[in-house]
Amino acid sequence: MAGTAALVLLAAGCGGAGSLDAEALGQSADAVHSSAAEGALLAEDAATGETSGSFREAHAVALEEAVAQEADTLRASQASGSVKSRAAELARLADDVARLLDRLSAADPAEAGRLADELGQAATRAEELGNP
Amino acid sequence: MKAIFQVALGILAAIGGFVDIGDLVFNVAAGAEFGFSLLWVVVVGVVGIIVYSEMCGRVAAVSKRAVFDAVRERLGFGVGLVALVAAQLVTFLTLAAEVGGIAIVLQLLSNLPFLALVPLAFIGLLAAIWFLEFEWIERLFGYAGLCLIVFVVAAIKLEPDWGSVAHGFVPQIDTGDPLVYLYFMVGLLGAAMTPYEVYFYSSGAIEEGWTPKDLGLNRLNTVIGYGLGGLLSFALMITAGALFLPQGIQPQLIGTVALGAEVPLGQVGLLLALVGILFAVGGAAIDTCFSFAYNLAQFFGWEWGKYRGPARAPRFTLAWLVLLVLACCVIATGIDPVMLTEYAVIFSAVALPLTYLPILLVANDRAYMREYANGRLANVFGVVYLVVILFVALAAIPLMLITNMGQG
Repeated sequence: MAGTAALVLLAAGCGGAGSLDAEALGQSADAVHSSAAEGALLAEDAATGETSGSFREAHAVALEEAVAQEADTLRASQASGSVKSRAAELARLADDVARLLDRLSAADPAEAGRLADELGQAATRAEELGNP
Repeated sequence: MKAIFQVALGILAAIGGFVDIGDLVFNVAAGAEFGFSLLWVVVVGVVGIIVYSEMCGRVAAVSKRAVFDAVRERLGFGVGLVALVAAQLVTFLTLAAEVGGIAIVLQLLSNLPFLALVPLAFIGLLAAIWFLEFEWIERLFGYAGLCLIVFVVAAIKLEPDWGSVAHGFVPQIDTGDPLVYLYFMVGLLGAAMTPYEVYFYSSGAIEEGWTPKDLGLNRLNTVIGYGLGGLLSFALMITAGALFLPQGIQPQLIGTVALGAEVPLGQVGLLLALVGILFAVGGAAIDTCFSFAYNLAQFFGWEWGKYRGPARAPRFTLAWLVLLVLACCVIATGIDPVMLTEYAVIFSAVALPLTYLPILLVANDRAYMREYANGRLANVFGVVYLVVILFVALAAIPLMLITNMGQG
């Protein structure tokens, strides 16, 4: 059991950045979409005063870290053809989402309302990149 | 009032065991991925844990023997040792994940740095275990964990399609992505029937000095406690299915779970969700800490029990103390508690047969159990669930690797 656990943990940890095909790009797009859509929900609540400041800050930062990691993975991966250009655009979009989430962590209600719209648009764009 | 306090063990086992970080993660992720179609698996898990916890409590009340006493005797030293190592590894992973979960919730409540909150989680757990009597640990964490009922309100407020919810209770397989669906099935069953719940429950029954007179209380504890845990699991999955699935949100963070209550209920919902998660995960951390020490002490024949105090059970006390320190050290390295949770749940699934087979054997042994041995109904359920558990144990790791932990 302990040996199996160690092997599985090792195998899981060896994934790293590799070649990126259309399916993997779709999964990355789903991840970016998810962070943006969740950020939009959080921003909407922040705009209407239905969340606490601590939760908004801490959760926005956690989402930002997750999407920034996705951007790094996309940039480090190898792709070719149309996947390559979509991957590059998705990486830029992930960076944008990370910046929006960073702003959300310190936003006042008016700013949060604007960020909700921008994050919603970013979520839609991520979906388009994943399903061209 | 007395009756309410008496079912505290079941409620703590349910809130701190059934609805621990593993259930929070798997139920919400399952709802966000497959909507309501995995609700029936929660029912299977709830009935399974009720069946086996009732047996454990009955064995403890009648024979004064907890699970690992039975494991060592029934499986022999060698196989028993394998079962012990497997159980302890899974329990340790689970405890580390729970400690991480506590620190994350404290961070969501305070926005203080995560690493500063790990020592605070340690001090809080240490103080609760050291200073509170067993019964008060049950009451504090069990009843404060009931704040999670906010998810029942959230699920109703989100106005899901109740026809689809009802359909989710009918056993089915998602044909769109059957392997990922199977992975979530295994994860949900592993989380619902995680072994430390029964270690804690049976040892807790001995801590409370149960006798055959308490068998009615045992049934009440398991049915009410785990039934409540099941209700909360339904609510988490329905909330995720109604809120996250339509928006394409893949929950990977504890904060996302809390967001499920915030969106429909605002700040009050958020606060109740965070407090509920804090106490549920805190209760689970205490369960796992004790379970580790119970297993070790029962296997090697040491004096054990919170009621004996550190002076009369020094090795038992040292065991949970060292484990708690190690778990905090692991989580302080920055490892992701949610990822750790997924590994803990899947490895729990692998360890299930080694936990549940000895319980079934002892509960059938008339030399120990006399007239309290399993009846026909308990045996039918016990054997059926053993088959289910074997399938889950065999399928868990292959499914985890094939589906890349449910990512497809």
